[in-house]
Amino acid sequence: MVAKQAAIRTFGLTKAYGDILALFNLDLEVSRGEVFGFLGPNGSGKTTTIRLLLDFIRPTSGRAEILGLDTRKHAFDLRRRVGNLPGDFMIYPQLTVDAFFKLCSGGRPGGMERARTLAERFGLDPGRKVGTLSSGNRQKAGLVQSLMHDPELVILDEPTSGLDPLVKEEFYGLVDEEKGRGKTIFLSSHVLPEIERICDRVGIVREGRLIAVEKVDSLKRHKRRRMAVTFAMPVPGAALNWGADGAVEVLASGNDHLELSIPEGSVDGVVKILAGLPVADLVFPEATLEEAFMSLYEGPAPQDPGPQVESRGDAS
Amino acid sequence: MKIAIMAVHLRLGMYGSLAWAGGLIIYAAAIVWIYPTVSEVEGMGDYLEAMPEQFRELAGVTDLTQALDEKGFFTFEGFLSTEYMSWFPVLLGIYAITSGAGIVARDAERGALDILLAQPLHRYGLLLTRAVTQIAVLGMLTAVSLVALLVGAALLAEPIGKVDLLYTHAIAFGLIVALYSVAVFWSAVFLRTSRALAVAGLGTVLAYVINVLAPSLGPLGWLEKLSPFAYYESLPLLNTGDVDPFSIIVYSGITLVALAAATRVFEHRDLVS
Repeated sequence: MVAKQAAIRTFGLTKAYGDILALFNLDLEVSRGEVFGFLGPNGSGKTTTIRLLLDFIRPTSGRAEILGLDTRKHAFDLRRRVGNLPGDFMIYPQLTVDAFFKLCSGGRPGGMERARTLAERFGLDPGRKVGTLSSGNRQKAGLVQSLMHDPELVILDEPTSGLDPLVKEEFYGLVDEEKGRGKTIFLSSHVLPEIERICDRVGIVREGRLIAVEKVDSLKRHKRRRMAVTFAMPVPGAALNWGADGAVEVLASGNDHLELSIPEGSVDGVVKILAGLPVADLVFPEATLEEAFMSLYEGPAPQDPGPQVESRGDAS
Repeated sequence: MKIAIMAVHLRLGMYGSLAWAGGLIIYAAAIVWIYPTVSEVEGMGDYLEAMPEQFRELAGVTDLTQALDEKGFFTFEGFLSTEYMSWFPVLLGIYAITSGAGIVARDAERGALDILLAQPLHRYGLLLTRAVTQIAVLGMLTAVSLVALLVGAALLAEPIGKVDLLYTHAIAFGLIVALYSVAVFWSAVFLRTSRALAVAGLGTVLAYVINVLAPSLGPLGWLEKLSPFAYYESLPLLNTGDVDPFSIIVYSGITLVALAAATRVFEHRDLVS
């Protein structure tokens, strides 16, 4: 049942370049209609994964399916159904934007009409030569190209790179619309607020290994959160008993202030303790994906040769 | 999609092709224009005889006796052979190798391959569409050369066998396409234009040198047959129009094998330059 619904499935997907392991044993499933963010710093394996999915490079072992079809055996058919924005792409600078869209429209009906609509929406001049475009406008042309055929799945590598904030918002709106139309979007990024804004789930990859796949909210909840408390009058340290298990860490303390690191599930206890104290101010910001991301990147790199998936959220 | 690829290929290479066409016309016109003057100079036979054999080979004179007789060097055909048709495949070969070396490598380097192959197009479709389009361009340039020489000969009222000239161009075209196809193969192997150009260019120069030097190497004379240049002799072709079918087989064979190997390599390799 789940297999039929998956937009992307990989089975032990591995890519090595000589002794360098670019991607190791990736088992990943992205459901249809989902916006999935693939997170990781440069060189972590994001682009390798995308290039494997698009059959630009071939796996050392393992395999992948897109829309239920093997990516190697059905690469040609899949290109009709999948849109792609490569990272840092370039096309012939002599072509106009419109000619570039025409080049990409072959074999798929209705593409040019949608391309012109999207170009207008992004404020892209179709008469300009690609070589004269700024990096942001070139990225817009790439985005239009990836969406112009109304693909069932769109794979985007760093899609908002070079875009100004207004166009980014336009792009986010477009992603929401596409999701509303049942399309699946798989995007790689290291812009965490963006992932937080548009993605349903994220996969985090580190040194070629998938270390977490979760819903964005769920991932944030796993993060320890900081709380800053200011007291109305001096409070002796002895009055503060956070329990013997050491779950709550005191990051900084004084007679009139306190900074705590609180794990998931301990908030209630902390609030009850503070209720008996003269609290003048309390700052407890929402956990960010960045904090969750950074916490997953703390500590040594995974060395276990087996699959590194620590947790998996519900795809629904 | 393939038509769009062809159109873009032609559009991007348009100025280069036009420049080569113009260059060939100028070169052909210059050779035709100076023939009446050169043909009247006395002592050219002594000059030709005094040249080292390798130099004569380089100028397309493979048989001195034939070159000096009445159907040889001092006829219009002989002069055209020595000064134009022996160099024509070398000149156009340079263009062919340069364009062949970049056929897919240039796109890989600039990042355009990821966009092109995200479209519904087989890898072999992209490579062969480009190759066939460029072979058509090389064919058009060969036709430009043929027409330029025919027009020049007509203006000078020099009689020349039109069919013989056509056959000479056709065999030269076969050689040029063979050189191009080998460059395409190296482009698919390396996905780096500079590396493909270096290997294809070096191989072509080596083949040319072998063709020139091998006949004077005594027992190693058979090495000449390893060079594709050995199957193109402009003077006998221009004089008689007798096409050696083996030339056609060799050039067709090199082209087909090189393009088949190029598509196979390109189809199975990682697209990483």
